[in-house]
Amino acid sequence: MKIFKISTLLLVTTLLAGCDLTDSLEEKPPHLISSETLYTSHSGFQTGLNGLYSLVRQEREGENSSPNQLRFELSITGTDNMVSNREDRFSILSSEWGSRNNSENVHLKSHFEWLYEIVNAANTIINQAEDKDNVDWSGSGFTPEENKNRVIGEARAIRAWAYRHLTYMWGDVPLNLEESLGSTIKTDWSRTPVADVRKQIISDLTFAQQHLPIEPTMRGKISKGAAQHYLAEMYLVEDKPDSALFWANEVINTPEYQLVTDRYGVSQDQPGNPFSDMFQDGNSNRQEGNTEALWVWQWAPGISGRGTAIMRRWHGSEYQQITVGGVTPLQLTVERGGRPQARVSFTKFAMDQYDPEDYRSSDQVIRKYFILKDAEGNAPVPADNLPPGYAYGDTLWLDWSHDITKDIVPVRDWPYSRKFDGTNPDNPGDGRSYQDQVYLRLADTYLLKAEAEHLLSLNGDAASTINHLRRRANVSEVGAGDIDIDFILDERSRELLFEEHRRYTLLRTGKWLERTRMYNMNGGQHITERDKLFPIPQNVIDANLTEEMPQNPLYND
Amino acid sequence: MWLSNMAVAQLVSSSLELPDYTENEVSYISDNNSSDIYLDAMMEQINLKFANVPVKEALSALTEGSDLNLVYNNKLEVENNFITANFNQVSRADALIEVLYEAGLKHQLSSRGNLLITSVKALSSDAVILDIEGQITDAESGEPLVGVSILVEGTNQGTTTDIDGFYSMTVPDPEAVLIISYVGYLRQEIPIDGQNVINVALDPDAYSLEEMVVVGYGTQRRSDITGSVASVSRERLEMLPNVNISQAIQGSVPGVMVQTSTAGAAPSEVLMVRGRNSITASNAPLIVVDGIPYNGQINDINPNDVESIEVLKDASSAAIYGSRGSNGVILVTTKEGDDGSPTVAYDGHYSTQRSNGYPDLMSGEEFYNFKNQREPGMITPTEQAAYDAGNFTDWTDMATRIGTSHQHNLSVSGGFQNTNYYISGGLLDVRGIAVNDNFQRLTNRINIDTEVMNWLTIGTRTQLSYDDQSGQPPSSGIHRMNPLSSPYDAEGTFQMYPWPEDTYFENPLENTLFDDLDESFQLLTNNYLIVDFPFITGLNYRINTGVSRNLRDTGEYMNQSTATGFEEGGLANTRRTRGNNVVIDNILSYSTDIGVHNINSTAVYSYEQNKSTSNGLNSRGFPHDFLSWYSAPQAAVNSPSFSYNETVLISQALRLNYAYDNRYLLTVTGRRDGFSGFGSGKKWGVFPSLAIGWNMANEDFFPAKDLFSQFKPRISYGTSGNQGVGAYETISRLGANDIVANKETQPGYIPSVLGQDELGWESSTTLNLGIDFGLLDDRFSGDINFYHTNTEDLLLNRTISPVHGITSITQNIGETENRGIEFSLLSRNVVADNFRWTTSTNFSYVKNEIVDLYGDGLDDVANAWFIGQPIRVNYNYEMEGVWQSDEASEATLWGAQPGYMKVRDVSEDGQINTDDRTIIGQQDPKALWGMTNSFSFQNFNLDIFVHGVHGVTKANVLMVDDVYPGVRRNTVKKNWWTPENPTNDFYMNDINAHPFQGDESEDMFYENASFVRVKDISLSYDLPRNVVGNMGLSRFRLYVTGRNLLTFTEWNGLDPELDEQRATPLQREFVFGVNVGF
Repeated sequence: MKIFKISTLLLVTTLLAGCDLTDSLEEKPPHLISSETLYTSHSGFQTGLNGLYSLVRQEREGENSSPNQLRFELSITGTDNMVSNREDRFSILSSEWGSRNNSENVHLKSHFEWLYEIVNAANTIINQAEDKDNVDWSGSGFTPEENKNRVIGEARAIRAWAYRHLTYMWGDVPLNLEESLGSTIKTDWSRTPVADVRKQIISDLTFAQQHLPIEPTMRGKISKGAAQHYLAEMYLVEDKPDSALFWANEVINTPEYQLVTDRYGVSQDQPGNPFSDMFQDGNSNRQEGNTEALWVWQWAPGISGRGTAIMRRWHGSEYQQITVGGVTPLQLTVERGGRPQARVSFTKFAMDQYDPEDYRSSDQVIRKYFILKDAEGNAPVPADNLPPGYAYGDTLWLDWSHDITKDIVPVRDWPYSRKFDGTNPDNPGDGRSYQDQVYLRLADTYLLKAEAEHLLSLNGDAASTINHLRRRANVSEVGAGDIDIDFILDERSRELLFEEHRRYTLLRTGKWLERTRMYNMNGGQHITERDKLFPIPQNVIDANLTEEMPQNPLYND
Repeated sequence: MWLSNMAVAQLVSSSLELPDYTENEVSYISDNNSSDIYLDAMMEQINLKFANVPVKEALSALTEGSDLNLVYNNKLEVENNFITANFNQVSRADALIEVLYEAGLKHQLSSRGNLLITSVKALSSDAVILDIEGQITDAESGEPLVGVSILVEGTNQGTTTDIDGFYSMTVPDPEAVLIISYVGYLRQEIPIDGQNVINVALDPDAYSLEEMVVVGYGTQRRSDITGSVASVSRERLEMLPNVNISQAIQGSVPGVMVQTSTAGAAPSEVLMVRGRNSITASNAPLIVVDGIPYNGQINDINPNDVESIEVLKDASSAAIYGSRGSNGVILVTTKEGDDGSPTVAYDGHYSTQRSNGYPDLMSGEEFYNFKNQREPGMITPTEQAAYDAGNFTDWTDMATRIGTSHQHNLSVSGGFQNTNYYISGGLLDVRGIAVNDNFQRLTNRINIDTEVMNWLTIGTRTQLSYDDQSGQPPSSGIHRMNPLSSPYDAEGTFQMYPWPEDTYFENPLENTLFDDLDESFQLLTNNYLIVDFPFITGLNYRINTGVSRNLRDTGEYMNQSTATGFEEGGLANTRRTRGNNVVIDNILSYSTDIGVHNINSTAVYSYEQNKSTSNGLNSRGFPHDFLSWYSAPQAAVNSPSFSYNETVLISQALRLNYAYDNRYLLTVTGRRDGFSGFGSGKKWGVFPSLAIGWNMANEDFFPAKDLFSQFKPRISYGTSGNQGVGAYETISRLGANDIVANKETQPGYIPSVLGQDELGWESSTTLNLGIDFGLLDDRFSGDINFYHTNTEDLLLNRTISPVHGITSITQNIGETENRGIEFSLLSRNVVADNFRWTTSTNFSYVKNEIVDLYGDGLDDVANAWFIGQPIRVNYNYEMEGVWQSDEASEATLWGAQPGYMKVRDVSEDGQINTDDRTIIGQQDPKALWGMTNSFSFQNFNLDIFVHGVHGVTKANVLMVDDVYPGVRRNTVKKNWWTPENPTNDFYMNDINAHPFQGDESEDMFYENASFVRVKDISLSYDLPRNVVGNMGLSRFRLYVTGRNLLTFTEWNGLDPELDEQRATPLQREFVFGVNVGF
């Protein structure tokens, strides 16, 4: 019994002693931030929006912050004007399709995950802003109500932007409008009909355009005009050209938004033209004179939060490997755009669209030749290597007289866009670029308007809408008789080459299969009806444990 | 018998006449028949006459001619006592009593005929005090044994032998029994019987059943243990030149897997006890050093300082560690000082290390042909020039060198007055086989115990260590670098980009040019105080105050003459990490014997706080390279970072051991743990266990007593936990994701982690059935264990639908089951005077299976978790072979052609789609074994350790032609299919031959990664004792060890044991060493 008493005593003592310290089991992390602590003031919400934009900006960066696999490639390659020029990563899918286009493709998976990460980040901001009643919304010289609506508007615009990508790529997708919480994990997502998702997109954009300013408060932010532009496009997909026309006109009739028709800015004394001026570093932002810009994305070298754009890296031809007479003459230089690794190049068709005098294919916009340079011309990089029979100052012409086909890729001596040229000036070997980039501009809105007018059988109006762009591009005007959907698509290619989501445009107009088969000689021959939608990634299907998530038609069987 | 009992009665009654005697003090009662002769001797009638004779002389005369033996308490002063008496036909007993009474003395008769003479005035507790001495030797070699523990049974009094095997001590009771134990030898119990000189020869035994074993918060006799506790043999700790303790454990304990996950100068090992219980929570066992949970690097514990290692495997033995016991507990006890003069020991070794080889990469010429075949026209001018000149680079060869290692350890130990000490210093200096891969470790240990008062002992176990791993080996890209490119140009200048046309590839040797610092300092100290309560015998209180502090400094600077440094304009990363752990254990223990009942209880209250913080700086854009990272203030971009981590664990535990007559054993343990990392309602967990053992061989009815020296069936059942998560996992949080606007940084945050307030303990319930046995006088000894562990509420990093925007979350989900058998056997095959051969074998098998995931019986394909399958399986398409030329038309149906990979149509629906993914083996081994054979012949000793791992299937990444588009990387040579070589081994060299290629690294090659490895062969020679003695030494041993000498495996990669296959190979090592004792 003595033992029992002592044991009991010990147990009681230890248990009692335990109570005093239990407070130390509460976690008080001094270094972590949660949506509860951050989203309590207007400035807190601003940081949330900044995070959201940094995700959005990834479209022109590589997957997972690496300088590889440009996300944008998925929306442009395998079309009539952009063709695969490599046998790897997504490029091999877009040159072979068939079994390469399967639900386990890591790039499709990565893209799907990225877009829903944006959806969740936007949902979090929207839910927190709408549901919380103790937020300090004051600041920035606006009323608290205006601040709150603009925050919600921006987040809803971005959410709409993400669902726009998702619906074009996968069709019916799960419509998730709630902030994800640890306590509400779902295993029974269902695919919302694409029409319902588009209704949400339109609802989000309609709200957003009401509250977004014409001139964004900070560079990089989406504008009222951009939201209205996407509304116009959504109504085109919905086959409501009258609504599309209304919203396109809303943008075009905003006095602050004007096509650039005159030389301006940092490059106005350099060779070039009004069109090429918009793409020069120091000229892209509205604050820098680009009145046409609706949305300009931001990068910067050498500071934190910079990101690394790889538009030029993923598209520029590998000029440094062009061989002439057994010599690789060209050095990597900043002027030539740094180190490129072409995955996705123009089709011959895209190049053939331009008249010689078209500003949109001028030397400042499309690289068509190189001048061999000596050490002084290339400084600080060494002189180019002279091939037999060549002298410094001679021109090496690129050759687009044939199509890019599977048996000749990678083609190095191929023209490439200079719209997003630029690299680290200290390192011409750098594959990344850091200048700000025009993401959406008024010219696109003009083309949407023309498309709406054409669908409303107002081909005369369409021609005059398009002529705004043609005049600016220094090419002849067209008449009502020239207008059909193919002409509009050709004009879009001329104007927006390497800018628009060409795959979406062709799908919207029902022309993807036809035109890609006709003009894309490295992949176009393999595409089928099935490939209009990508397969739902396998992990999305596999993780939906309690309800079957159907795959898109003709995949997996 | 009846007569002798009568005599005893008489004796007792006669003693009663004397007032100073009590029944208890004079007792001749004995149940031993042999004492009858002494009782008879006592009753013998004698005739003797003493006239002023010294008492001692008189007593001698009284016992002369009998078998009785006089033993005096040495403190007895009887020299001046004289006696006069006349005994005529008086019994010897009566005569003795009278003489002693006159002299103020009393006596006791022992069962062995000793007459213990002591003073009447002496307190009963003092009893007889006796000085004893002797020498302890090895029964076989006759060599003296150093540091043997001699303990008086039932007390904590004891000593140890000096370097010559001698000991001396004072015992309180000449009737006491000495317990002589020495790790590696059979324990002996020697009754003192009043002898002053006791020499003992110990029989060697590496697996002694009677040794004391360290268990959680205390020690226990091995024969009393009810749980499953395994010890690492002392030979393995002493004989082998291990760099860290996990190398010593590898293969020597059943059920413990030690996998060398990375090789190199400071190799890292993964430890796992009894298979994988947890899917995503840690499976690493808890390591406890001298009673304090150890969070540091296992590399920092100097194996030379280690006295013993015990592994607690089942719920009962590990239950005292509660929430952290589910993965097993490894208890490391460091050496402590002995009584006596200082002993100095030196151990030093030197080794050379060679690469075990890298799989055959293509040579420059083979690469050229491979490239031309795969993608014609892609050869660049540099490659062509190198090919034309025959200027090929063997990059792998440039990445490795002949490594060396030397280690020196010096220790001094001893004791004076009431203080024992062990102080050691160690230096380890390794130049690894990877170029520029170096490791240096300095350790210093101070272990001191001092008895301040007879009820109060204080002590410390303190370790200081310093590690230096500065310097980077070449990057792993070197293992697949283009052999037609060269690290140096024709003038021998380092080339930033070895392949000028493809500057994607920096020179993989550039890492060796970086400024690199990686130093860490650690202080680990446990200072304790022990109170033996004087008023309640057996009640003992101990407080451990453990503090560990560590500081790690890392810095790297990539200068602008390297590609990485050039691209960033100089890039520096520096970081300082500080760890601060505090443990306070309050331990109350009580033990008592009541007749045949032995009770032992332990109560623990413990508080543990682990905190670490770090701050780092990433800097880029340096004005120059002169000052390395020290010019960071002038760099263009400086991005500081901070981290913080703190966890608290509060524990209450109670353990009760009960033994009845050394036959029936019971252990009950309970622990309640609170952990800060869990959700608000789930912070506390309770972990009970129960174990029963039965020393059957001690039963009268046990039939085979001659055969079995021990036979102990035991059973244990209990629950232990795994906290498995770190701090802050329950808290939803945002991660920084900045952006720029107008070329300025704008802070941004995005949702990054989904919190789970319901997160709580993962608990494992284990049923263990075991038998400990010893056969033929422990000629064979060992144990067998069967166990069944069910783990519930697994902490899972579960993949969730990407629609959530976040793709994984930590949750308590599901249930897994481990069923296993473990077996260990020590057999002393030959025990002759000059030759000994012992074999120690262990084997374990575990079957691991997922029982349930979400309660609905559904598999989780996204996570590759399947009910009824092991936790970690390979789940993928399976290569069936290669389409052959005569199958061309069939191949077309599958979108293939001859030479392409044939993928198995598992679902047999005529096409390859996601239904054809299948389970291809498990990633954790099913069976492990180790066998050590030791041979000793005179002064030579040979140990051979073989280690086997079976039932593992792993993806061999080297078997994928992952050469990048344009063939820009090298690959391992394969048996490629060609029309002339219609093999099924490997498809043709064609970009489309692998149906899923294009994603660069599709694992499709699964190979059996089982292996049997001759891990160590060690030969040692001890200089003969007389030679050593002439040199003034106590010991001099020379040894040579070969490590990783031979491996048998079907694996075609770098090494079946290593995780990363494009990495530094495992080294083959030859070690030369010496042990010297002064």
